[in-house]
Amino acid sequence: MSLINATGLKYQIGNITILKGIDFEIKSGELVGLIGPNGAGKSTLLRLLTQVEPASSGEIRFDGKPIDTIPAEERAKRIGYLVQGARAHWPFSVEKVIGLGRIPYQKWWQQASSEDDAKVQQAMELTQTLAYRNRIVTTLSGGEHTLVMLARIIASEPQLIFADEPVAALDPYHQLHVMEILRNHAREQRAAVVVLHDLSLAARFCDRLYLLNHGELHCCGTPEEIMNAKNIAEVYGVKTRITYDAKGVSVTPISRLGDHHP
Amino acid sequence: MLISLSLPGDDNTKQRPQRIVSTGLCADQLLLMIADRSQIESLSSFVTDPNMSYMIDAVGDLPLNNSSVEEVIPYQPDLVVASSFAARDTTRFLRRLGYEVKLLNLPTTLEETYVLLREFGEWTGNEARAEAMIGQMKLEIVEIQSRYAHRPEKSVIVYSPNGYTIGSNTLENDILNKAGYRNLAAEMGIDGFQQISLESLIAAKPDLLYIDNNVINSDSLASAYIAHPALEHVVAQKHQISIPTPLRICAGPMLTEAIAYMAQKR
Amino acid sequence: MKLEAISSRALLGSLLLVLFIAFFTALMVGPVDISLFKAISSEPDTSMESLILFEIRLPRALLALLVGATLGLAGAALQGLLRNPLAEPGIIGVSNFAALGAVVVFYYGLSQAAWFALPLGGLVGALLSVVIIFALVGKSRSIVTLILAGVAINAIGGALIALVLNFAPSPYAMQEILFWLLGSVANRSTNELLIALPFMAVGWLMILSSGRFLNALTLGEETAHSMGFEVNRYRWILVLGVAASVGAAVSVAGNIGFIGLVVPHLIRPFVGYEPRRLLISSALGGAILLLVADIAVQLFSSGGEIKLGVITSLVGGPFFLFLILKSRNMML
Repeated sequence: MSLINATGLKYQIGNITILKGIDFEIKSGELVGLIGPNGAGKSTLLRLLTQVEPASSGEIRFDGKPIDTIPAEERAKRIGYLVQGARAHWPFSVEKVIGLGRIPYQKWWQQASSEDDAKVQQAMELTQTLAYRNRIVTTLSGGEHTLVMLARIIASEPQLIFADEPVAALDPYHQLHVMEILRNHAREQRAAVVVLHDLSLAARFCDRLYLLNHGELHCCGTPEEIMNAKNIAEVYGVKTRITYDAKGVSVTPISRLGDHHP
Repeated sequence: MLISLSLPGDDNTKQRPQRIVSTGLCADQLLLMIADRSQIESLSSFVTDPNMSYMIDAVGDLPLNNSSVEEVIPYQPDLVVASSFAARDTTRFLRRLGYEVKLLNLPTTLEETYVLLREFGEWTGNEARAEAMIGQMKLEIVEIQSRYAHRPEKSVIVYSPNGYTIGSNTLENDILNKAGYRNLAAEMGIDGFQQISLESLIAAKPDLLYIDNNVINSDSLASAYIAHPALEHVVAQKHQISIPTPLRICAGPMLTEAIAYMAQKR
Repeated sequence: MKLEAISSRALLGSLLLVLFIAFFTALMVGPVDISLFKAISSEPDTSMESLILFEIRLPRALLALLVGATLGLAGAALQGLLRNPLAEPGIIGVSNFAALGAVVVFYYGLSQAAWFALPLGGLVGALLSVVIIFALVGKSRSIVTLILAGVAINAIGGALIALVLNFAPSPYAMQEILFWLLGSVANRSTNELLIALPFMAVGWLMILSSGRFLNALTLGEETAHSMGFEVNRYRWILVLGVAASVGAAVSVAGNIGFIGLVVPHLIRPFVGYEPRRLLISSALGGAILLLVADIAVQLFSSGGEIKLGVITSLVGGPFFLFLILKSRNMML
């Protein structure tokens, strides 16, 4: 079942066209990866899909309805957005940050209910962040921080999670942990979209990949279909060695291709 | 009658000053009232201000100055009269240049006013006229007091913009007393012009409250002060007075008019 | 969470208790010794005690309470909105511009036009300054940029106030600049209370209803958006709320500084740094602080009354310096 169906998405600022007409689809049960070089437009696409910015043209349908007809409150409950590099400004406790995920379920005069508390607890269990629930969020390492932000999103029980480069600065342990959480989320009626630079992770965890270049869709499909030396050379300008083994796919950049500038 | 003494070896025999310049309103008015017109070289421009000057009609075509040193010097005066609270720099400057400068103090009682008038007479060589003026004032005051003697003495507090009141050691307080009032502010220990709190005013329970309304219709906090709703309840009689400014800001015979004005309101 | 709910109630409870104590102390302080009991039990028209209590002390204490609450609340709101612990209406120039708006209305005869003319003038002035601040600061998160913008706005506001007073018809106008720049609740009556209250109440409501948004904003604007908040709309609601309440407060009590800085800062650790919980507690804390300051004014003045703003600046100024020193690393 199609959760998100976007057609002809364009985004322009002044004379510069950042996205040149992209079709994008997410079906329930999928973990979709968005890959491509820096400046390809991946984050922009995410911002359009989460309605942070309005598209210059094109249509986005969520669950069959145009996404801008869905009230903000409902959208907040159904879509979670892990913003790239988002950090808490005030020194909240970890538990309080995760508790923020329940805001869409509270009216302005209401305090947290016992149901809210239960969901927060579940989110902490899922992300294995119970151990540091009382620590101050501004003292956490990169990996711990991302897990907490993810927990916050999970506490709001979204159908769809968009994660913008969640593993960029993380150690291997936390990288795998985050990807596993996203993978587990993308089941049954739920789905997730993740922007990645790490091609190995993308190939290993994602059901489908969208490869973007210069604001256009270069190709899309399963990792087996599109993760090959030719595509990567064209888009990233690097020669790679791709190996398949029992664990999955491993993509290793070998050398830069001299006359190609991505 | 004053007799001037001259002692051997003393050059106290001053000449009567012939070229007098005044740089303040009160000095201007005293000159016009006590000195010969021929003695006056220049008056300050304040004396032609209708809001302040009592002697405005007597000025005629006498030259005016703006109280600055530059304007005083051309007259080469043998006497300069100024208010003691006027610009000190001007006074010092003129004295340094060798000019005789006499300063008029602000009297705080009617007695001090008489002393001031007497002094002024001495400075300008018009002792007789000054003495006559003093005598006239005393007569008038006695007459006013007997005219209104049948009215009972009343207690009063005067309330001005920003909550200022008239306390003891002010000329205004003396005027009130001479006009048959007990000034409760002075009795409460307020000295000079000070602010009185609304609470103290209410607690004093004066027979009369006089609101000084000279600038009452201005849009300002000062005016808002005296329009506080609490004042509605304070006394049965709350009056607005406005003693014309020319009557009350300088020492001189116009003070008796001020006393008459106040006594009549009692 | 349960512990938080208890500590939340404990905090609010203790603040309310202290507030009551401060309020009643304020009623007992004044130049004349009166017996409160006599004041309450006698007829308002006949007894001087009840006159003093109900017409003079009660409006004054209530005004100190409401203005203090407004300033505390506005400080917490601005700090949440700008994500900057040094933001407060005085420092960023909002209070000065509110005073400017009020001065233009008051000294040029416009306050007679309608009961709301004066607080509206304050609102317009305050709003103007916030718009300028946002234009100057933009997306910058730098504390220094905000403070510098505030310095500029304050300087311009102060100069314009002096200019307007200079040309005002009343001869008293210029001397009254001290009231507008330093603030006071002395000699204010129920009239002032009533004209300021509606705007303050509306402003409070707007600010309090944005509490959740401020919490969400902790994680950034895009994340707040994803939680269902239209960021621009909430920003405007907060700005208008601050402008209305601070504008009204300043229009009747002048510019009283530092309450909005000191109070949220002191309370923040007790509410887990949560912007939303900070709002109400800062309102209570601000009310307490201003009442205490006004009590101090009445106890320590002899003759001419010290302006409230002097006391708050004597406390708030050094506090501000201390904050700057403490967060030197955060400055750049």
